[in-house]
Amino acid sequence: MQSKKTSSRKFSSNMVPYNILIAVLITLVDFGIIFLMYSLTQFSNFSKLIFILINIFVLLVLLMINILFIISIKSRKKSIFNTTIILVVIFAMISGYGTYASLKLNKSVGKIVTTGEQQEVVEAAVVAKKDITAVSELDGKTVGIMPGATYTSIGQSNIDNAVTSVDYMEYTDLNSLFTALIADEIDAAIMPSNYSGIFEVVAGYEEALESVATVDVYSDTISVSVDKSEKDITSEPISILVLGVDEGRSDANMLVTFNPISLTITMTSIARDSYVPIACYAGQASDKLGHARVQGIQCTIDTIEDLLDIEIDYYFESNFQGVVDIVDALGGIVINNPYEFTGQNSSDERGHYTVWIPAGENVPVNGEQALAFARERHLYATGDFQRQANQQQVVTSILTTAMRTRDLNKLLNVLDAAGDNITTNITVDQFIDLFNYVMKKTSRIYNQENIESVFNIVGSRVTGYNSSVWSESAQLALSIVRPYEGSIQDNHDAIIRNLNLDSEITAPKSFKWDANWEFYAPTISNETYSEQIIQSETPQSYWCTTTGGTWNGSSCACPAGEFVENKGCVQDSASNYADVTSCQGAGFIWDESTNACVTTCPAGTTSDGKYCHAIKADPSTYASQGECITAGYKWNENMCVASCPTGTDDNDGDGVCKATSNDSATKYTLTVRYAMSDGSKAPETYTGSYAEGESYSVNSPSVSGYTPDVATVSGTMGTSNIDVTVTYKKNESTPDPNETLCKNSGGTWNNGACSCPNGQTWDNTNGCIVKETEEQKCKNNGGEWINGQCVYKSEEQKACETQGGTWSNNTCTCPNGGVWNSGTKACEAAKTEEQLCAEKGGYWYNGSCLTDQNQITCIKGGGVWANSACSCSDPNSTWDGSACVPKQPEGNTGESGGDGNGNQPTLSTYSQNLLENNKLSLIEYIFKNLTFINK
Amino acid sequence: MSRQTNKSQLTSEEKAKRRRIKKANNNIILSMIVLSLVVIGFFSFNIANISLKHSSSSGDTLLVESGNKLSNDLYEIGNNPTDIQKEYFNELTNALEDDDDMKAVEYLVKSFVADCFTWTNKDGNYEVGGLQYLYGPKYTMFQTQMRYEFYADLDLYISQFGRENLLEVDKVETPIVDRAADYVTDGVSYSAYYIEATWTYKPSSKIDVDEFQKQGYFTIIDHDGRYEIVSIYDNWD
Repeated sequence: MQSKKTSSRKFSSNMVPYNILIAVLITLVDFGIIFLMYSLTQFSNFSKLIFILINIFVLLVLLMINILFIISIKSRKKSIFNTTIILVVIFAMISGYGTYASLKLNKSVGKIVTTGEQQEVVEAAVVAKKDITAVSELDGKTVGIMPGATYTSIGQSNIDNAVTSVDYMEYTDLNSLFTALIADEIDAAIMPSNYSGIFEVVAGYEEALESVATVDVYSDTISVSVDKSEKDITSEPISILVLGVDEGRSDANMLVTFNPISLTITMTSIARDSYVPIACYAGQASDKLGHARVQGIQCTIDTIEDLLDIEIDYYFESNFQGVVDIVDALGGIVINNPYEFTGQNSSDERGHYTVWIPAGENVPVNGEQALAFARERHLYATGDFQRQANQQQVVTSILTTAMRTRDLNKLLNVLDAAGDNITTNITVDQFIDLFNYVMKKTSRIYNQENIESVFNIVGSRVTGYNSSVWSESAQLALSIVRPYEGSIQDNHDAIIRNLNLDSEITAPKSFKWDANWEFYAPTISNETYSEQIIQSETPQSYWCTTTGGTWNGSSCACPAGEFVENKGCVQDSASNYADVTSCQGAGFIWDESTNACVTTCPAGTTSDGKYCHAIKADPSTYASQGECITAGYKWNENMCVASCPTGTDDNDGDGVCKATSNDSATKYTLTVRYAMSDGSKAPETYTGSYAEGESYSVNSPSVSGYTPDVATVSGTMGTSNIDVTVTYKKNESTPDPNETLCKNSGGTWNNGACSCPNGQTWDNTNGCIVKETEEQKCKNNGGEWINGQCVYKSEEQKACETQGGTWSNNTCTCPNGGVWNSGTKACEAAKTEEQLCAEKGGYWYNGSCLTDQNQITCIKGGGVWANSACSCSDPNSTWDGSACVPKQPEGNTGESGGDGNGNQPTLSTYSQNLLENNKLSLIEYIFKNLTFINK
Repeated sequence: MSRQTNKSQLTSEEKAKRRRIKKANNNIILSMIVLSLVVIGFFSFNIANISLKHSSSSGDTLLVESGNKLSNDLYEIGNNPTDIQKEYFNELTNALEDDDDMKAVEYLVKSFVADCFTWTNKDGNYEVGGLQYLYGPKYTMFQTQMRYEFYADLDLYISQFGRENLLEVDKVETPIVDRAADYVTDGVSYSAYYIEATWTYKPSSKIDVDEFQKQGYFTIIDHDGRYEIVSIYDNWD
């Protein structure tokens, strides 16, 4: 019996196939668990002790299974075999699910964390006007490119392979490239494949986008690396660039800094339309900040580093879907939203797929609602700036909700959601270290119910003002935001304070507090700054600055040698000047040989900066006496020489060397001095020796623009020296306008230049003027001088202030409750309720606006409106549909009223009734009376 | 007996089969042993790996000394209390047990001063001391204000001078402890107490402790049986 019982507990059949099967299963389970534990080891920094204990526990369980299986083989006992099977199945399930979960987790983490070099697919689009349909048609054409961009090299290599010759024209920024294509400066452009998404948000580009098409798209996988930091983020303050990306642009740009001792987090938003120098553009050309991301994340990092003068350690980037998925994975977040509105969801189809966002404090919202809240700007007076504040609110709320979450599954879902949409170069270990660090801190705070209060989150933004830049190619003004330099500096200082633990200590050393006080955290950046405002670019200012001029708000100042023409500064032409003074005043040279104003001296002459002088050839090259003397040399014994040799002279000045006379006693000196009537430089004085009775004749040298009072000094030498002065007068036909202007404005004309009295300065238009102070300059340019700064106000603002209004946030608050009309730029009296009633077709009665036309007719007709019907208060009157009229006497069915006693009313009493009760118009009154008479 | 008989009755073919089965099972057992050794080897390696794993984290946090915690029905002492904090807190507890309101408010203020103005036991700017003694509905506002004012540069003090060289309240005196006119807040009137306090700090070789606040004028209310500070002034102006 015992033997039978024992045998029933044991297997009698051959169990080898089953054992093999179980052994395989156990092997799979063991290796599955090994893989799982190895995968999870990367998270062991959460708690080494716990991970070691888990490893020991799992090891013991696996060994127990293995041993049980061995025992079951040896003993062939069913109970042990069954137990082994159950454990194997359980662990197979655990290892299966665990492996799946860990693979998913690792995949998500792998996607999120991208440190060092990574592979990135870059797409280049060849974009052209619609008449070009294939890249092969670009042969011999011009293609615009942005040098340095990764997509450019991809596009170029593919085009080069497709066509035999193509000219490439380089542009500094995407906008210039695109507008050049629109303006037909180029036949095609190599652009990022998402160019449409980049430009569709630019007002005025809709038509331009319609006119172009993608000819071809090339893609390539390239290695990109982003600078990364090895900082210990639990002991050193760090900076993280947080980007929200859409269509390749960075729509949200936020620089976050974290101080591990104070646990202060600064969040500094920068408007996506901020017009700033882009670090990776040629010559650091300016463009909208959001466009930098198209060139790669390093470009955005470098650009913001340059802008704020801050070193960025890490980045964290999410697309729109990432925000939606993460918020949904967290089960929603709460926001404070003052206005209910309907916004755009994560779909790219603008205007479609809208989502409703309720108003209120701590309003729960899902992912789409949170995204719409973070994207909305049209609803707010401060537009993009309020959007930045909302973005900070969403980020803070996500952080807070995540910190409060204790549901591991929820956090894994967040990681899963983040996997496809978020990238960062912060490593898993750094995340875990930071998490552990913050958790330790939270254990020390007073209110454990509100652990997020461990952080002091300080929100700020780089403020700026709306402006525009002129696109010559597109012929439209592009809206931009110009950041205030003061705001950049203030934000820089606040960020540096949070990052630099060696900062100067400035905190107060005492405090006071009262429970009835309200405390408002100080703001980092002002909304506005009193600094030079760069006016919106107009075509004129654009042409001026792009041709090297300086735009002063209303006119263009060109560099020397240039003047303003239709489209900016153009090179001045020497041919514009006919006289020496104006020619030289404009920076040109006067060619004496041709008496013409020239830019450069002609061949054979040389310039001294003012005049062109003939270059003297070697005297031996002159064979004739005339040429020799004309060239300024001397003719000596049939030879041209530089100067008369010893024993000869040319005292008579005819250019011919003659033997020096020993009879000096009979010679007298003729001195001819030259003077300019205006004091300008005169020709050199002539001196010659002549014997008594010898004739002399000295031609006065020609001076352009001047006429000597004696053309030739001639005569016969007497018995004494002669000293003659020839005076040159300025030709009447070529008056120098500057000289006249100079003299008329109180200056002194000297040597072709005007000397102004002290305190005055020369102005080409006005002559000597009182030197303009910065204040005057400001005022002359239409600005207002406030607190030592020039503030330029819009016409609308000036009109507002002129009328006693207060200008802020781009609108005017009128005095006495007036209403600002931006169209007429005038404060208009606030409309009374009665006026408003009349405007909408109502009738103002007893302090309320009636809109029911039947009721209005009743009231106007002197009736009493009750229960949607009209009656007359006078018992002797009746409502006839338009007015209360006296009741007819019995038997009288006519329309006229009587006195109630059967008497017919007189004309006058009837009319009086009508006038008093019905307030008839004059025409109605006459008509009624005529009717009455007829009756 | 019967088993022996059965065994003896086995044919050579059956015997050979049994040997094959036994051999197969032995092979399976052997593979299981090898597998177990592999498992042991991996886990040993993994445990060593975890133990030796480098953590980049070097930021320190003051550990909360749980054995150093004091509390009574209404209050709990702050983290890492100094001796003077513990002394004042014990006095506060005794006063509450004795229903001695004047003594209770006196030691409440002393406990607050000893906590709020002591930085040697604070981990960072986020850990504003003395919050538990403040008017409940407004302590978060006090905390926020402190992080922007008195505690604003605590991170700089800690990193530049070392936590141990910072402020530590040595002794608190309360020359005036008196009842005061009712205090009205949030539209509710509370019976109130007025206390003037002066205090001294332990000397520091790194900072000039005399530059810091050393006196305060306090108003305390009886907030539904809990004494809470509603105003603190550093001077009379």
